[in-house]
Amino acid sequence: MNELGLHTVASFVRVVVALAVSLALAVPAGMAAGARPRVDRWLSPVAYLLYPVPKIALLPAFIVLLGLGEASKLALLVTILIFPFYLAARDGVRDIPADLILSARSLGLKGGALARNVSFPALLPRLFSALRLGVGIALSVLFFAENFSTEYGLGSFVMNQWSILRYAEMSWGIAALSGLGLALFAAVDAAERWACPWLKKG
Amino acid sequence: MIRVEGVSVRFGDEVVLDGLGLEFATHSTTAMVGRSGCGKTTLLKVMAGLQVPDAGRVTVDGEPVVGVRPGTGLILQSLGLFPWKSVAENVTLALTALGVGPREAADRTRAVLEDLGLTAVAGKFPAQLSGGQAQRTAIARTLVRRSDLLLMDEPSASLDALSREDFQDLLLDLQKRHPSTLVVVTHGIEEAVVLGQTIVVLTKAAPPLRLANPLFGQPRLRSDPRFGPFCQEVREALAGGTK
Repeated sequence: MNELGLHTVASFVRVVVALAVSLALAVPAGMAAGARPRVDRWLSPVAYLLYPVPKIALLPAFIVLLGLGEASKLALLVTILIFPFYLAARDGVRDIPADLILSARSLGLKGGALARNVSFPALLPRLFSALRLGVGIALSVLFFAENFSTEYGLGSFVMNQWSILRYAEMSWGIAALSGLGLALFAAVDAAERWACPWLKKG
Repeated sequence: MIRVEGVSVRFGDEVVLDGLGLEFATHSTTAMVGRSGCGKTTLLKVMAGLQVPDAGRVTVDGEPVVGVRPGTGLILQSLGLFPWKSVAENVTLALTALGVGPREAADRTRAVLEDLGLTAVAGKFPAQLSGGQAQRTAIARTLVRRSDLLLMDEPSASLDALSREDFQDLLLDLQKRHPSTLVVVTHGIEEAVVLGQTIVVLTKAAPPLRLANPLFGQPRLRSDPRFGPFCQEVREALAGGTK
């Protein structure tokens, strides 16, 4: 694999891991808050308090706490992605029509079965919208984060090529970043078509 | 026999049901009419075990209803079909929720869909169905559980006039082939006369009024000369109870 390929793969893995970790943390918390007002009363004020803080400002703190390696970059991405995912999951569950919940309860669905058959599928359309926003934000922030002590990553590649005046290579790096975005958006679209077949138009 | 014994339900200061008493004979068909807000839907929820009354109780064959009974089917005005599940999956879920194994659930689902003429749309999602097909899917979900008590809350409200008549005929046909105790809440007086062996007029001001329907089960009921006058009788009972 050529040098640009290695940098692209490194950035791709960082974004995918950050998205996966954020989803794994945010979706169960959002589902709990959407279903239980008491949980919402505790979690949502925390989300509202922390969501508006510019997370990029936290990178120095993450580097001090977690070192210069992958953990600080991952922590930065997760703290940015987790809030929109949490809110999408919470609102997706909260907006389930009362009749649908009543119908599910009349069938005897509760707890895990209710979450699996009703709450989770109901929140998916909102979650995929949040995921699309998340991909764009993650790539922008990653570009910034990869400028700090990063061996492989498109952010460091582009800035390094720029600093040594290799503009052609720099442009290929930007094109790779764009291609990475295209691939991730296409993957999200494909995942939505697979996971939400009832939303197919026509 | 289903007995509603002194059931009261309050939401804050509002008294929705106040010591209501009613009886429904096993395998009977009852149509319940009443003005909006008289507590019809709340009564169905109490009977379905989804609403705990502030006082009183509901019994089915002497057993008090505490929580959801596997043998009770509820069809809401919105039908409550899950948009993300196909017709077959909506029906199968009604069985797997009871702990029925996947193979048996699939077999029973297939049989019920065939019975209701839904085999061709088994893989479709609710948004892709006609109003009548969606109604039949909701019925299939209760039929597949072999429900002995079927509660319906304005199930034909969203249908056009002819589809509504088809739906009423289907219900009566199913009631002959798979008897259950059927309680239908409706705003339609004509629908109540077509479906109800007994018509219960529910009002807030007075105890419920029961009218035996002499026309129930008559062939070509809607064109029977007694149909119009009996509908008028129900209408007057309804108007009288709300004065």
